[in-house]
Order: sequence, then structure tokens, then C-alpha cells
Amino acid sequence: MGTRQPFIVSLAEAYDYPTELLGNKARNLSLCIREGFHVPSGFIISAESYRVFTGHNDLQQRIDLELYRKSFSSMRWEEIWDVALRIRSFFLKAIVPAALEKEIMSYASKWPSGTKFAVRSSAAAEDSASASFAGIHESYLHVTPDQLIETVKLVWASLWSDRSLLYRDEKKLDSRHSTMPVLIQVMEPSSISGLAFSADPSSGQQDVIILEVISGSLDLLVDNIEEPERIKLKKDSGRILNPSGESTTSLMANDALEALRLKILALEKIFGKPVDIEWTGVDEAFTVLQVRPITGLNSKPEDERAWYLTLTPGKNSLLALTERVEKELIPKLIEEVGQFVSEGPFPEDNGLFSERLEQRGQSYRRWKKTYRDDFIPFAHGIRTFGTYYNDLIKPDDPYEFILLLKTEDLMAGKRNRQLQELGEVLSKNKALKNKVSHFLAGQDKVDTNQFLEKIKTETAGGAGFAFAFEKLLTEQMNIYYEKVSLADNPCSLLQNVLALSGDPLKKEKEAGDPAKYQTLEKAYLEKAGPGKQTEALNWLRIGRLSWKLRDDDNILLGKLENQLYLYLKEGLNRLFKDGLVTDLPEQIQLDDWPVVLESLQKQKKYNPPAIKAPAQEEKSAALKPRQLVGHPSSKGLVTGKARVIHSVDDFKDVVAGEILVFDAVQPQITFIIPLAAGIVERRGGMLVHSSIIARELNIPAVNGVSRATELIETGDLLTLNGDLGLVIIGEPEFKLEQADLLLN
Amino acid sequence: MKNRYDEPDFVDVVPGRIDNARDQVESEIRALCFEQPFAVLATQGEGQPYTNLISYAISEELRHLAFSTPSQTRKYSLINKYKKVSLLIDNRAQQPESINLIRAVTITGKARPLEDPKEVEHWSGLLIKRHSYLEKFITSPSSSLILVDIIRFFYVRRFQEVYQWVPGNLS
Repeated sequence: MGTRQPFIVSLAEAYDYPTELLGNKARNLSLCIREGFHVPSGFIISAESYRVFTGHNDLQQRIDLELYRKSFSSMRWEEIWDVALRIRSFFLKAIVPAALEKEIMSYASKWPSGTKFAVRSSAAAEDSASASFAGIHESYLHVTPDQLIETVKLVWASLWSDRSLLYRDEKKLDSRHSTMPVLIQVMEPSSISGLAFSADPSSGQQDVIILEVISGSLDLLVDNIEEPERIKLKKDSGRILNPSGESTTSLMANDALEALRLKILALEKIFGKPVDIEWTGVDEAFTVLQVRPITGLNSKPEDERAWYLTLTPGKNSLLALTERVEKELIPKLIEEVGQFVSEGPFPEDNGLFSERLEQRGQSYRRWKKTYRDDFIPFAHGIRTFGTYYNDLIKPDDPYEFILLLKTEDLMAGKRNRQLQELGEVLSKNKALKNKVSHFLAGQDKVDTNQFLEKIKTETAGGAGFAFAFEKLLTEQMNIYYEKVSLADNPCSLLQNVLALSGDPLKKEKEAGDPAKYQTLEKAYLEKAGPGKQTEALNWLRIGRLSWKLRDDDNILLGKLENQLYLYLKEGLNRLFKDGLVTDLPEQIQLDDWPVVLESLQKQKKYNPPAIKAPAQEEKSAALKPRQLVGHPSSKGLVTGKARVIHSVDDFKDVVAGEILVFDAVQPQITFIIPLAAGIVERRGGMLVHSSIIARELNIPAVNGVSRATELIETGDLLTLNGDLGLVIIGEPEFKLEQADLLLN
Repeated sequence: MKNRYDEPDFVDVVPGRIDNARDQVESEIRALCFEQPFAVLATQGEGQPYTNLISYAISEELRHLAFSTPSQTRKYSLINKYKKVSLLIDNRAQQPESINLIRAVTITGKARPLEDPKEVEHWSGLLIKRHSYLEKFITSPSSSLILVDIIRFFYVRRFQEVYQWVPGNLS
């Protein structure tokens, strides 16, 4: 029965305590104090405090339920972000036990009133020789005593951020036993700061010192606000090795530089290996802010989800990106698509045709890159806003912020409404509806165009319907989606319109409930107060824009791809006529456009690329999933027949009231969702397109269901539990046992 | 079925680490049945369910499960009247900290007391191999050996993920 470990330890004494209790960051600094270096004074809130806090609020069990209900390796980064958001919300709403809070506050009161603190993570595994966690956990600067407790909670929560979870998974560290000591230090003003590496972290070269120096405090450098001066020194002589050959630097006098070099060498000697130092001040004022062994020289992440970590742009780069996407990229994309569409029919002349094909191909190539480089990172503006909102408001529902985003009409929403209006026309005009179902049953022996022409003249109300349908087809369905153009099969679309004419009609609500979001917006801005008004408005603007654009960009790119698709299709037909293609390929590969172009220009034989069918596991009669787990993305309970959507070809078979099972639903195809009684999707996340629409239509949805389209078959009876995120397959029967199929 | 633009493949599921593949689930069921020594047996009689803790042995192909019981017990007489039984095997004792790490199988099947000396010899041998400390109990003339012909497994992991597996369908 040992006594409990201390909640708080002073920084000066920290070196006497184990790493598990205080973390390496604190212990390394404590060692520096012991060795005579100046370190800003402070204290550590120990791992014991973290355990008492999490224990008091049952947080470990809540984390466990969130984190391990699905295999971590099968989670997409978006799902991990969702998990992290929910865990962060638990932390923000949790209460620090009174005894602990009292101890922290009374310790902090040892410094004069008006003191501001730096609140930094010092997780047990951080800054060790094998894992640095550099920039993974949160740190906060200029924290006033009255903000201290809330800030500590944020640092604790950052142990469970998406970044941290991915990092620990990659390093094979066990999340289950992670704890988070927090280092509190007095903020000290400084006129010069920087980073120092006593070896080159990128080349591994050990006889050099790399410096990054800025005038002002270090956070300007760490947050990429200011560009530092980079200096490379010979470690033994201090000679400046910069490529330009200069022997002086602009920010530091040569004797100050020499004093700094000696300090760095002294620190390296203490730690016995090359170190990475955050420092401030020179000569007598030299202060160590952080020191740790250099890790991961030249190492590459194994898990490619780590790419995601590079996607969360900092505040300033996000602001710049917003400007660029809104004012430059999207208008340019709209203009380019409009230009292509307006060019009209294919030119007869092969030379001109090839030229236009090439323009479309080049445009496709450029925008594909922009999508990856700019649009996807920009889409994270929603998440950044969400986190900001939750920190400020601490709402019960961590997704409340979504209500604030829906103020503008999305392109996909406009299209979906047009489709539903057509359905309504049919539901009101019985004669017309009969004609349409007659035609779709294949009894008219005419194609869709002929049918539309016929009803224009022969059926009351037929003309209005036919023109609206044609408009929808040419203006909204001129979209490429997974190897086909959505306009390729008008019959399928007509089938959907007919299905939508059944009762009762689900109507998409107008962009959010204005009264509700206005109240929320008011509360949000009031909470921010006059001091943070601009900041809060900025984040809201970024959130709204990225919300709209991450939907619209898919539609616009679909239209651009459609242009390339049409030209490729026509190009292949021309090659076929000239005998340069033996068999027309079943699927058109957009990325193959340069080859098709070359064949057209040089009248060369074209060989379509072979299409590899994805390997699929053999279906097992013996093993059947009974209940699949995903994320509850839209509430409600529904039972119905499954319709597994493998491609848009399956759309024509969709019957209203079925539960649609998708791999991934893109904005290009959300028009099918109003027909569904429920949605299952392999791709997970609370912000995925299908979930948002499902919530608007008030139909249950479960997403993040691994291998959904493989494990579920069309015709299976499904029960969706949108409150808990469960998909139950089949009836709760014991027929097998009763039928004695296997036993006598 | 994936749009090339929206979230490219490489940020998605790490290939080769899918854990609901058929082989994976089946081997987890097998591992659980072989690592656990005890099961909860549910019998029934006149609408009254009745449960007991038993020591069991299971056959290699997972189609049969054997346990021993004194012939004077309630479960023995219930099985004689109603052969349909259910069993629960789980690892909750090893996973007190995390509900997500608990694995459980519910087995449905038909139970019958073994009488054929060859069968008795075979199954009591397996049972003793598994629970050697029970040898005296198993070989006592007052004990009866019960064999359950397994129909289905319902496997639960991560709190709510459920699979059903019929070993009989395996050829």
C-alpha cells in the first residue's frame, strides 16, 4: 500500500523523479537546471494527476469504447478524426477533481499576479531517444492563471488527438497505457530565439551544427509565422558553412554565435548524443526552452495515413489557402468547364478535334493535381472550425457546429431538388406517370429520346416534364463518375424519377433551419466576445467555404472529367472507323488520354490498357456476418431489403424504401439517396456526403462499415441502428436449428 | 467504385490488415474455443432456462463438444428431455479493463449422453487431456459423458461485432 505519487513537482526537482511520472521534456530541462543552465521556472502536473482526472471522469473507459470498437487499422483518417473529436469533447466537459485543482492553483500562485505561463505537453514517451512526438501534442503560450485549468485539459486531451493516435500506431506504442504529464513554465520575453541541432537531422552529418534564428519569441518560428535565418556551422571550429560563402550572419554577431556554439556543445555533452534544442537569448541570457535527442534521421513513415498529418494546415496557411481557393481556383475551374461545355459539338476536322482533346486532357491533369495539393487540405477548414467551435462553446453534441455551416446552397443540393420536383410532377399527373411506367416496362419499343418527344405532344403536362428532364440530363448529369457519364443512361434516371413519385415524398429541407443556426451563430459570436470577434468570424467563414467547396469541387471536376470522357469516346470511335482499334474498350480510362491523342495525331494503332479486376475473397456459406459495426452517422432504426450499389448501373434497379449499401458516396451521385430508407457506407466519417444528406432527410445511416459491399448482398434483410452504428443482417431466426438440416 | 479524386487510396485502409476476413474470424473462434477451459451451458425444461458452468473439450473440426456431469444432476435430466442446448464461451476473465477486447461465442447444438464404449473412450480421453485434474470425476461410474453436436457459432467481438459460423458447411 504505497502512498500516492505527487500531483505536482517543481521543475528544479523533476530530475529526481521517473520519466513515467513527469515525462522526458520536463526531466531533460530539470537536468539542464542542475547543470547550471538557465531554464524558465515552473512545475509539472504529473502523470498521477492525469490518472486521477481521467479516473474521476471514467475517461479511460470512454476512450476505450470509442477507440477500439473497430479495428484501428481499418479506420480511415476521417474516422480517426471523429474519434479524436469525441474524445476531446469528453475531456473538455470533464471536471478536474477539487483537490487537484486546488493544488495546481495554489502552486501557480507562487508567481506574482499577472504572470503568464507556457503550458506544454510532457508525455511519458515524448522526447525519448526512439520517438520525439515533435509537434504531435499541444502546447499553449501566454496562458493566464484563470485559463490554466482549462488549458491543462486541452493539453491532456491532445494525447488523444488524431495526430497523436496515428503517430503512436505508427510507432507501435500502446495507447491504452499512455499518460500525459503537463509542464507549466513562466513565459519570459526574448528578443532573439531559435532552434539548434548538433547534427544535421536531414543528412545525419554529425560534424555540423544547424541553427534557425529569428528575432522575437520562439512561437513565431514554431508556428511558421516568421521565416528564420538558417545557419550551418562547422561543429569543431564554428566556421560558417553557408552556401553563399558569407562569414557573418544578419541576426547574430560572430562572438554571440561562438557563445551559442559552446552552449550547444555543452548540452550535447550532457546528453551524450546529438541534441535538438529550442533556445532563446544569447550570452548571459541564453535560456533552454527544450532539449531532446535527435530522432528519426531519414526515417520514413510506414503508414501512409501519415500523409494526412501534412494535410492539416496551420492557421495562417489555411487563411492564405482560403483566399486562393475562393478567389482564384474555383472561379478558374468554373470558367474552364464553362468554356469546354460551350464549345458545342465535336469538330469534324481531326486536327482541331485532337487539339481540343489535348486541352481537356491537360486541364484534367492540372486540376487533378490542384485537387490533391489545394482542395483536400482546404477541406480541413471544416475540422479546424469544428475544433475552434467546440473549444469555445463546449457543446453536448460535438457536431453541433455543422448546423452553422449550412447557409449556402450546394450544387448537388440544387440538382437533387430538381430531380425531386420531377418526381412530384409525376405524382400529381397520373396519366403522365402511367405513360412513364409503361415506357420503362419496355412496352413502347422506343428509346428515351423518342419517348420524350412523344409525350411532349401527346400527353397533357408532358412537354413541361420532358423539357425539365432534358435540362436536368444535359446540365446536371453531364458528369463523369467511375468510368461512365451519368448522362449515358437516361432510362436509369427516368426510373429514379418514377421511383421518387411514390408516396410519401421525402423532401430535402432548405439549407438548415435558419432560426436555429441564427441563434447558434449569435451565441457563438457572443461567447467569442469583442476580443475574439474577428478571429471567430474568420473561422466561421473558412468553415462555411470549405463546407461548400468540398462538395462543389467534386461536381465541377466531374463535369471537367465528363468533357475528357466525351472526347475520348469520340476519339476511340474515330480510331475504330480507321481500323486503328480492333475492339472498343468496355471502360474508358481517362488517364490514357495522351496515348489516344498520339494515336489520333499519328494515325497509329491504339491498344487499350488491360483492366485488372480487383481480387475478391471467395464467398463463404459457412461464415456470415450477423451484426456489423460502424459509426452512427444519422439516427433512427429501420428494417428493409439491401440494395448493394457496385456501380451507377445498379441505380436503375433501386426501389424506393430499400437500404442502399455503398462503398463510397460522392456528391456526384447523392441524388439517389432520397429513394433510400437507410444508408450503409464503407467509407466512414460524420462529415461524409451521404451522412449529411441522410441527416437532412431524417433517414438512418451507418458508415465506416468495413467491406460493407462485400459482406452484404442485395436482397439481404437489414436492420440499421443509426443510434448505435449497427447493421444487423438477416432475421433473428433459429430455422436452422429447427430444420435439423445438419443433424438427425 | 472509388472516385479518383476524393481521398485517394493511400489514405484509406492499410492493405493486408483487414481483420474481418473469413480466415481471421474463423481462427479467432477456434482460438477462443481451445484456449478457454470453461463454458456456460444453458439447458431448458418446460419453458424454464437453466444455466451451469462446465469444463469442456472440443473436437478439432469444431463440430462436437464434450463435458461430463453426474447423472443425478438437473442438467442431465433436462438434456434427456430437451436435447437443444446453448453454450457460452468467453474470455472476459482475461480482459477486465476493456469491453472491446472481450470475445465470446454462443454455440447452439443438440446434446446427448454417450453410451457407446468406443465413443465414451474417445471423448473422455479428450476431456481428460484438457482437464487432467478432473480425471477421477470424469471416469466415475456415477458421471455421464455428454456430447453436443454443434450447429452454429455466434461470435461476438469488440462489444458489438457479430458473426455467425456453421462449421458443418465446411467440406
